[in-house]
Amino acid sequence: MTAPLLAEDKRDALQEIVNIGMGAAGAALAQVLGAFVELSVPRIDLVDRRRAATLFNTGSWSDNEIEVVRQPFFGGISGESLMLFDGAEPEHLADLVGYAATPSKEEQQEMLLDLANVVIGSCVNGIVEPLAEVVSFAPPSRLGGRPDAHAFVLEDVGHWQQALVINVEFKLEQRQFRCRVLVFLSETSLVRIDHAIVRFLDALAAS
Amino acid sequence: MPSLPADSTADVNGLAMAEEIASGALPANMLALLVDRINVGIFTVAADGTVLQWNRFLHSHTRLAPEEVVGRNLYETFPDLPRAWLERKLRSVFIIKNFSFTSWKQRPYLFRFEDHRPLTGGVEAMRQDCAFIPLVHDGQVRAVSVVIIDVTDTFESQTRLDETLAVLAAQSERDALTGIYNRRKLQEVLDLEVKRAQRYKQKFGLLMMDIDHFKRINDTHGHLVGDEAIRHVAKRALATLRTTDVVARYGGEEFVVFLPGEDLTGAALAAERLREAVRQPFTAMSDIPLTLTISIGVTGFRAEAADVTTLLGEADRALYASKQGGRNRVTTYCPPAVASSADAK
Repeated sequence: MTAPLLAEDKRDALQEIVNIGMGAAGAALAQVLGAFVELSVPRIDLVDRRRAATLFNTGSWSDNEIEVVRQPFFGGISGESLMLFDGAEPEHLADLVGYAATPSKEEQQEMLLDLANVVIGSCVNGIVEPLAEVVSFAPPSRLGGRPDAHAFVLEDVGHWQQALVINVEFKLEQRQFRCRVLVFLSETSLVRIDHAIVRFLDALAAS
Repeated sequence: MPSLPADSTADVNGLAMAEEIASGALPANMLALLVDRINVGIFTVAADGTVLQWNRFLHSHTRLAPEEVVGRNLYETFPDLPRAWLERKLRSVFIIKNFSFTSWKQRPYLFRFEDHRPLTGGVEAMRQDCAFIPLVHDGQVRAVSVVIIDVTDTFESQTRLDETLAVLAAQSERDALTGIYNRRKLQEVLDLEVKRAQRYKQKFGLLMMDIDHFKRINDTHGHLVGDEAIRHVAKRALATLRTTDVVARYGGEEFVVFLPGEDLTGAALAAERLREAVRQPFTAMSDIPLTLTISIGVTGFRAEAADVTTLLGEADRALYASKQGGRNRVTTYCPPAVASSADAK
């Protein structure tokens, strides 16, 4: 199939929607944590399935273990979000999310799942709401914390060839906390997104 | 086939009911009834912690009726709740206006309910998955509903699965005859240790050893004694080496030893101690006095020999030299870099 989202004007519109949506996600995270959150400019890529593993390259990150949380979403637009945490032991965030100063392993995992739920929820909603779509979320779950995170992408699973991937990094400067969100919008959603963008652009032009 | 009494459904008009529900005439009775009777826990709480709704599932498990809970503060009625955490969790749902979740894997339960299967359960408390649902009206989160699902069955099968997997994992890395690591585990250890040695510029020694004239032991005394000979070497190796060293059975009568932190000299010393320990006489099958010897090849990690296959090959060549030299001895591998620089002169 030819990628309908490669048309430049639609790409620009989507980038604009995503920028605003991610900004809102950053603000939500800041509000929940009560701390200032920095975010990178979101990148939108049309990714071939064979290249999916390269999205996990965390070149500039430290040698820490990476913890990965996934959360599927479904509805008119469906897909899967992954959140990659730089380091699997966020004890330095404990006080921000209402835990004792030395959280147990389970509490640390719960913190990461909760953060992922908040960030992914606002990221995905920030993208689909302007497009007048509604999605539901399954509970987030841990994929574990191995350094070779790309091993999580199963090469022989599913039927997709291409996916639209939105990639953004969040940082809490003072807490040495860093995470990356990857939102995979599945192939079956691309046509629907394309139509939604057309409607969005038409509405803009009409107003 | 038994038939239903005809008159019980005769005057039902489903379409009319659906219209009544759609028009809002019925929901108070029917949908509220569903929320009350459904087999999951549901309660609704306002931003200030006041309970607005408390269904029958929760009534049954807490033995507190809606009259005793609704209209009162959640944390005062249930002082055992993790208040600081739960308040934050609910607050984030009010702010973000999005679902939130908890899993039994991290938080076994929100409310401590006894497992309701006293005969077959054997679990001390019901495991619970929770979903926190924002009730949005006019763009505002008016309240949050918490849905509590009993996942004790999942917990039980997961626990059983984890236990089984742990047993299998332990078995899959051990040699059945000697109980020491097998070749598969050795490969895993070496792959990891080579990377570690490269990254942190560490050293390690590697021994490959083989029981001398093993076939003769088998031919003379039978295979059971042969098995004991193999166990003897494993036992002596474990007794002689440090706890941080790794001994593995590599093949029939072949063993490999990994010695972290040792250079070639240290590894050769350890090999010599091991050779000496093994050749002490012992008794097999309660009454067969035996003395056996081993030949050993020694090598060590170097930046230019930074892969497992190369190192094992070097140790194997040194072992071969020991065999050629008359057995019951230790030979240290000579890196070819030394030889070629000698050639250049």
